[in-house]
Amino acid sequence: MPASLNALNDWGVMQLTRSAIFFLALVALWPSAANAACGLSNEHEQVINAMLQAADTTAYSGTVLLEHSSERQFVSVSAAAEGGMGSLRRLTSRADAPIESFSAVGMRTADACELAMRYVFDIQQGQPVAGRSTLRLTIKPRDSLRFGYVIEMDESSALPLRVITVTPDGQVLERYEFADISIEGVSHWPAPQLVSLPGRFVMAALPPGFSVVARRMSSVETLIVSDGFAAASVFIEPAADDLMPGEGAVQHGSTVSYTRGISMRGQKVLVTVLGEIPLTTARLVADAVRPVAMPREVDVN
Amino acid sequence: MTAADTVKESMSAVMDGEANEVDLARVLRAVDDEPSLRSDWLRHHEQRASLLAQPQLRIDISQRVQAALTDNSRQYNRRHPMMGFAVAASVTLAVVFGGQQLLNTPSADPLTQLPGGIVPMQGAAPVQASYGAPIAAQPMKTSSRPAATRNQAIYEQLARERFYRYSVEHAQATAVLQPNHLIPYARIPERSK
Amino acid sequence: MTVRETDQQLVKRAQRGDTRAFDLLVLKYQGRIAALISRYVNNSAEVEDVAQEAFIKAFRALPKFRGESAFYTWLYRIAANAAKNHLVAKGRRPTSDADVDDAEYFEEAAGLRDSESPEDTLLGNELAEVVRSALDNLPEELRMALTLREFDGLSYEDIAEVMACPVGTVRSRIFRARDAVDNRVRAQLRGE
Repeated sequence: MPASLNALNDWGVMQLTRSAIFFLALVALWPSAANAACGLSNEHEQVINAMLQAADTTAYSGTVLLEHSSERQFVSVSAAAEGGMGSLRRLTSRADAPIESFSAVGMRTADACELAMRYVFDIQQGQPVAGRSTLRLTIKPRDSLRFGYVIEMDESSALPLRVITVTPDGQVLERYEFADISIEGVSHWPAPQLVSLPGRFVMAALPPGFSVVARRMSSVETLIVSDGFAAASVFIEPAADDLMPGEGAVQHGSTVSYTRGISMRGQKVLVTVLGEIPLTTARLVADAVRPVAMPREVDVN
Repeated sequence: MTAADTVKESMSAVMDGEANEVDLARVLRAVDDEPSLRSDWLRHHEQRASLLAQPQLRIDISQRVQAALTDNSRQYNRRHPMMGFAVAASVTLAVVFGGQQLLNTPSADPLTQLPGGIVPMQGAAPVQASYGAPIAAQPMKTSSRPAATRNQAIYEQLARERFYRYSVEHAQATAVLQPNHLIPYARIPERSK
Repeated sequence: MTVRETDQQLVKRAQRGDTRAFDLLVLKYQGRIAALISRYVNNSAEVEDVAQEAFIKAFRALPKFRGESAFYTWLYRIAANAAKNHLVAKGRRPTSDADVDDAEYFEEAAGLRDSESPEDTLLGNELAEVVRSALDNLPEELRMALTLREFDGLSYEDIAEVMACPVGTVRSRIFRARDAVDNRVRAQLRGE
């Protein structure tokens, strides 16, 4: 599967690099070249899907600049070199900054066609990034519940090389880009399984396009929600009895942390939505948290 | 729905800039006929402003302004019979400065406060013009805060603490979903590690 | 997120000389404009005079308002200038050292005002608390519709999508929410 996927990716990217005349002729002569289900052309669909999967199948190393209004940092990164793991080191913090590792394999919860219900895509020739030629993928949200993105993706590997996150009205929230990168080949590691442990809370009515994609029991019960592109973690913890109901939020680059205190079945609960989503969406996600209906006899304590 | 409710619903839509011409004509006509609608309009806006914590004084100069204008507008219309129309046609939808300052203003504190709902001030989204400016950078009197403001301060602090406490778990949980798995890790603030 | 300009319809009408439309704009903004002017002017009678002058100037200048800024931002500048001119005419320095541009930021800082402001007439946090509690006690669908509108600035269309209902229902819910809040606030302020 990974090998054939990769071949498909290459094909999709190749299509776009052909001449515009050929492209137009192809579309005109071959009406079935668009996916009727979602209105994306086959070329767009393949390029977007290639971008979504590129990080799972590309081994690379390089230096990334990540910046937003209050922070700017360089990170040295190496991905998928061995065991499906990556490592990063912050160059702008202490000289002895430790090497941190991360999982360099991913999974998709939506494909291009599903994303097209929530976003409008446009593809053009991009500006070179780190000396590599790119395609510029513009992703505009169809509503104000998600951010937009401008992604310059590597023409050969489809790896996102520069990503700008913008609010629905066009304000830049965050930018990251490779200052240099060396693409070292293709790696294939099995996609991780997202765990979904049984928990005490469910989501009743999430904002349009969002669904629960995983449930974790880390320090507290955590639900992960995503619209296939943007994602947020919802942390649910017991709160002190004397806490008044309320809400508060802070913003860090494209990340919002929204905390709400609510009373559920007589218990005070603190819900924190942490994610790269607009505040409105975070508030709606918190609105959706409900306790699981428990049989009475479970309450033995 | 009663006729009075129909007018009030139209008025509510006018408040939100969501009215059609029929609504607008209905409201302007009704305001002439029924003075209590002016008070309804005034109270709704007072309540909105207080909800959004916009400072306001309770004065009513509207009658005085009207009296002065009725005179003025007669003179004005005589002098420039067409000007109003010409300009009206050129009015375009204005965009308020909303969330822009939030994004461009460097702050000593890397976290920008957003509005809580209890005493909403402003935030990433537009509570009309004020939603979105960096509150942290503004001089605010902190003494004798009322209970609601204190509660909001508590929640902002909770949101801030949770941001640092849960950043690592959020990165671990969502990195697999991102087109670039390393970025969620790179976003983790120094203080969380 | 785009802030919706909600005054455009009334401003257009007022530009055509409709004084009733301008009356609604005066009613809408007089409290906030007065709070701004009180940053410069101590005396409450003078605050009213300067506010009146500012609104009249604004009405006269309406043909020049082309909608590049929000109506309130435009009005705000006129009022701030009127207040400054008033002080200059009276040969006094502003009581506040806030500049016009700064004043816009100050206006946004919740609750910030000069200690000289007439405290007794300031619509204080008590009203905010009463309104907030009325909002919290609304049925969920009304509360959510009004919250999305007032705090999140969503359009009726966006709210309709979020709440999975027709736009007409959103419009009706927001109206009913406002009406219910108003009834409750009035009852509470009357001491019921």
